[in-house]
Amino acid sequence: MKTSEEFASMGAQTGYWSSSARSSFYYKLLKESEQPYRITFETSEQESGSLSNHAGQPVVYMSPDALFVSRIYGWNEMAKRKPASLLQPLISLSNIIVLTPSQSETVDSDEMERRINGVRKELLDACEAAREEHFEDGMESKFSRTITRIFSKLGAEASVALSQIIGSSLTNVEIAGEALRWMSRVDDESTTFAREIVLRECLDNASISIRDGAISGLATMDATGLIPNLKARLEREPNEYIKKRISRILTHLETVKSGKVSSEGTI
Amino acid sequence: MAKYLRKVRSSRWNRSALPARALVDLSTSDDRLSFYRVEDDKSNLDSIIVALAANCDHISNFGYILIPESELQKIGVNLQKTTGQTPFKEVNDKYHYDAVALSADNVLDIASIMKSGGELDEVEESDALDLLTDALGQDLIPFDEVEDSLAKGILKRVLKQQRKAGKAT
Repeated sequence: MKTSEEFASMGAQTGYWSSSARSSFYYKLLKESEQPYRITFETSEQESGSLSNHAGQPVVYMSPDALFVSRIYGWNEMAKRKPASLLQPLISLSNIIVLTPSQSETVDSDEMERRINGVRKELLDACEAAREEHFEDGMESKFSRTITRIFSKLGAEASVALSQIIGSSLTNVEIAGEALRWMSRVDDESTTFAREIVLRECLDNASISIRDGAISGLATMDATGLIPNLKARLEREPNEYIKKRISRILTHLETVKSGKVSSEGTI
Repeated sequence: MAKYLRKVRSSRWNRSALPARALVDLSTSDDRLSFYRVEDDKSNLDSIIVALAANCDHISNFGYILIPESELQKIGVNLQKTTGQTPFKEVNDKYHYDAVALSADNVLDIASIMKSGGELDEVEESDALDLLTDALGQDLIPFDEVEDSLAKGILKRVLKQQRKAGKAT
């Protein structure tokens, strides 16, 4: 294990976690663990590079002005798997840590954990209250307004919390699907990537309602970066209706990606 | 034979066994259920879709089921021509019907034929946006008749797509 200083220095070389608050945050995560970890940075942008981390494993980093997600992989767990699978997500959603650049300058791990826990409680309360509501496509509800408010305020932390809630089946699938639809509508580019990560994870959920909410959300966000994930889902999707929807959404996303959008602003 | 359209959330209907929550899509008001009559050749389907999209708070995908008129007749559902409540006047006046004096058994029968003999389909958000944008551009629907949140959402989406198109080119 490297010292905190060495770790900070390594981060500084990337131009990424140069601040002491950020490096100490990661160092704490490493130090408190009982086994070595690999840290991987993922980005929805194309501007990424690679370097080796303290464990000699490649890591990917992204531009400093973009939102990032760090994933912490248990190395012993990874070593048991085939090399190809090392590229696949191995961890539970509760291990995803999301920060924005501005937050990471000032927020330490305890504060981040406190925020995520607070948002998770708010979301769970909203989900509980939503059991009394009926949802209709395109129509607001008390629940949708709550989701919009929470994700507008703390979108990155709420993304982590919602992932945990869905991953742990702490709410019913209809409500979870509705949450995915509405958090996708929030107009905050700084948390776009965090929200897309949640949707991407939910593409493989066992519930039709949650998968349906996820693909609806991806369409709402015009998430062209997730076209490969949608194509992969299409290959293994057992529900014919969802397959049809994915095909249509893929066509739309390909159009958006190519720049040939059909809406020319004729209003 | 004409068909009758009922807006639904497709994830409640696109499975082998119908979950109880699908009945949420058949919530009655004064023992009535709202339907839109779709011509044999579906020539008015896009107009009805525009009307339903314009009636939303936000631009969104939505599901619908087309039910053959003969199936509704078989179970004795009484359909009355009434005026719809969407911002699209032509659709309200020409194609809107209410199934009236419904009993709980009627509603269960309707659910059953929607599941077994209905045609489930989805309007994706991008298609709803295109159709609605065209309709607003052609003054088929007055802009001030749609919800503010919907109007803002349409403008935002169009601008966002144009921005993305600009980046791609």
